[in-house]
Amino acid sequence: MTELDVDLTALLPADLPDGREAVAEGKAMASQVERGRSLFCEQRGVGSEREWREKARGEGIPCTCMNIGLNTWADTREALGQIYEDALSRGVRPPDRFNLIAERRLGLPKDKRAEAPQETGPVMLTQQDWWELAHTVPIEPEAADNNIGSPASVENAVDALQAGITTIGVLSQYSWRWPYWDDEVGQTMVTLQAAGLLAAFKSEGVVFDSYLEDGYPGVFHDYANYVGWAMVERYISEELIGAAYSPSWGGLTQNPVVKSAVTLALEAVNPDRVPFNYTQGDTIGNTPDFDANMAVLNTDVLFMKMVDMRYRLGSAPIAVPVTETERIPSWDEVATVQTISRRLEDYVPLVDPVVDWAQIEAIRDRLVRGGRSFFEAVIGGLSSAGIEVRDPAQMLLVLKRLGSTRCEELFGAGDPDPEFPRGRRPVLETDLVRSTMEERERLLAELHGRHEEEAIRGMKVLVTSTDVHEFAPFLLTSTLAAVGTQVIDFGINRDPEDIVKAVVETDADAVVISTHNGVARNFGQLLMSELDAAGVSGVPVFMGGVLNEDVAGSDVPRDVSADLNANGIGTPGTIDRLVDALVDHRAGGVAV
Amino acid sequence: MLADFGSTYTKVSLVDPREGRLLARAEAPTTIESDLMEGYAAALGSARRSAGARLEPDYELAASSAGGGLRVAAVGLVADLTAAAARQAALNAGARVGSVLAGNLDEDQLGELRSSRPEIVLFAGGTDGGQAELVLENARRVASAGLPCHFVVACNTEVAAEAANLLGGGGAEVEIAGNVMPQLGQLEIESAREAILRVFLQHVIGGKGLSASVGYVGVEGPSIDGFTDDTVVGTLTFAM
Repeated sequence: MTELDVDLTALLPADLPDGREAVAEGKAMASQVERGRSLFCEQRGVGSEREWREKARGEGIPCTCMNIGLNTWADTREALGQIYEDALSRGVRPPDRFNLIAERRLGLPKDKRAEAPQETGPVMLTQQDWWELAHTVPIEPEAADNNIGSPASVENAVDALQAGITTIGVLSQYSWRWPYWDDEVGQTMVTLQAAGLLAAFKSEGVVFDSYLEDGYPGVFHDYANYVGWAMVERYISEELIGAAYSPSWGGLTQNPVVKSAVTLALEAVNPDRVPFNYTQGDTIGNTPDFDANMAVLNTDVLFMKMVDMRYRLGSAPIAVPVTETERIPSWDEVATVQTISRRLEDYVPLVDPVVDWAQIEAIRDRLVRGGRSFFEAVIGGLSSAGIEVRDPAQMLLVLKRLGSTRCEELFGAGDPDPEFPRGRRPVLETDLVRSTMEERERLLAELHGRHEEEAIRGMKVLVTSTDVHEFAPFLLTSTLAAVGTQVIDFGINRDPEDIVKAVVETDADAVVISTHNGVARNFGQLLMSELDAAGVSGVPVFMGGVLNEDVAGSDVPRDVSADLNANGIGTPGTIDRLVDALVDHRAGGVAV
Repeated sequence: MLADFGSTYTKVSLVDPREGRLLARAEAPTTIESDLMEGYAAALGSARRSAGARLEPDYELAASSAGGGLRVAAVGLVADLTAAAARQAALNAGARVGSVLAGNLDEDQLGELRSSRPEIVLFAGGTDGGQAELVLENARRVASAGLPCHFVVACNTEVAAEAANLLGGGGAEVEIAGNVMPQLGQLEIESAREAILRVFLQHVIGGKGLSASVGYVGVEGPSIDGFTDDTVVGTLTFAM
């Protein structure tokens, strides 16, 4: 039994409603929902996406998936048509499905969307938009980002089901915080109501998706804990709620052998054999050199397809456009990699026989053992700490409030070892942690060589982010601390007003913000004006990450570094140049 | 033994906490003109008699609702950070929190502070090693208001002594406690809560000459969870 040194029951409010009642309320809503049927399902003669995937799996038909979300729904709709036609014109089968990458406003209740800050990505504003989502082209949509898990879980689930969508996510996103929304209990309860609604349609093939890296696994250090976390989510979804659960994963892993083993481990803990939703293409191997990224694309997709076909997962790999690291891809960039993905199917039977699958299966088995250990530690630990582990509200909220780091420290599969950041030796360290630590070491070697530590020693640097991405802030905080600054780790996903408050209380000497959600310009403008209003406008502000935003007159989000600079915000581009800028600022130079 | 020192009556209840049973209840006029403990002794004697047994309480817990309770004002820098932490500390000390002030205090806020007639001002602001300038400026402004009250300082520890000097410049009693928010988001209100109760007992109750024999032993209060604006709880344990 896991011994816990934290009082977990203190993390839950005394008046937390029973999650089972919320699930029952959601199930009761089903009678009011008239489910539609998507154009894809109509053409395939199936009642749900799940039915198609089971058929494809049985018959050995490879499926593909794509992520798409341009500035507006109108742009996205047009792009879908162009991608579909492009595939036909090239003589390849169009994608089977797509994830709608909506922006975060979709996750807010409808009456709050207009006043919330706009980000990059479409928002479904009308019933017509939802209908078009499933009826523009015969490519099956998933209501993915910012649907279930968000404060607008119920309304989005209803809209999606009525439009004919049968795979709806994203369970892992329940751990997110939406802009200007702090009602965690309310968010948990609507998540459970929406999940209950999906449960009511389980027999009709409706599936609850979870992209693991959007939740805790995205910042876990051990792949075994990915598998364990998926088991926890499956337990909550299937055993406590009754909704069919299918995980997706893969964007933060570069090594194709490791990725194959993790996918197989996730399938090994899928007792109902719900078709594996999708495997996301690698997003961390890419660089600004789009041509070089072709190597990442080809290797990654080939292995994802081999695993899917060999083990009959019924999955749908995503080929990541080579430009995605720099911007939201245009329709033709998506279409190009979809064609490559289809052509790679020809090579699967040629390469598969010479791959050492036994080695991959051995890694899989280690991960499964570790995953089961994590799962048992979570259930046993929470139960012994007084948490009602049959109540999905208690389960979701206590894990959310515990946080990813503590969760991995307490329940992780690896043996205790203080040499590792999470206090445990990982069963298999994640690619992202490995590459982040390597990058950190490289930076430190370079910075120590410059002997600049004295210049910025003790400088109070507040580090935060505008979104849910954790590794850039992790790299920033660990590197800046190692070069002698006093880091104020303000966590992730902050609003400008939060940052101003933190600057007032801490008297920070500098603010460093990581951003990847297409809000850089507006966020920066608001932050600077709020700093000014609070009388602390002298503090230098730096932003890094993906500095783009939707701008009138441009089809794709454009770089807004110049706007930020004009507003007095530094955009050094790399951490070593950020350190230079901090040194300059200390010396009284120009920070931008 | 549970006692409530009211403005008019001192109420005493004897309870058996193991069985959750009320054994006896009695009251006597509050003896504010002589010594509080006289009225308490009368009420306790009456309760013991009505219980019909010679009871020696394991614990004696007392609270006071006289005069509407202890009035505390909370001062911090950001409304939902250090000011909120200060307010929480004051509430957990059982006080009525008349005003909560944040930001660079202006004349209107100082006027609000005066009109809330605090017996204690809990002065917070800044994380440890954090904001100093704005905290000290607020201390100067509060000191300039000339409030007839006591101060508990629970701000950035690096400037707590300087803030205390400013606030106590006019002769007011000042006690320095730990910072209510030593780091962003980290609530550490226990030290300030204890300090409020100490100042209350030593200077507010003692200073009013309500009793020569009350000895403070410790305080027990509610946890933060579930606290509401209207809740005035927190109990004082006395050695008598």
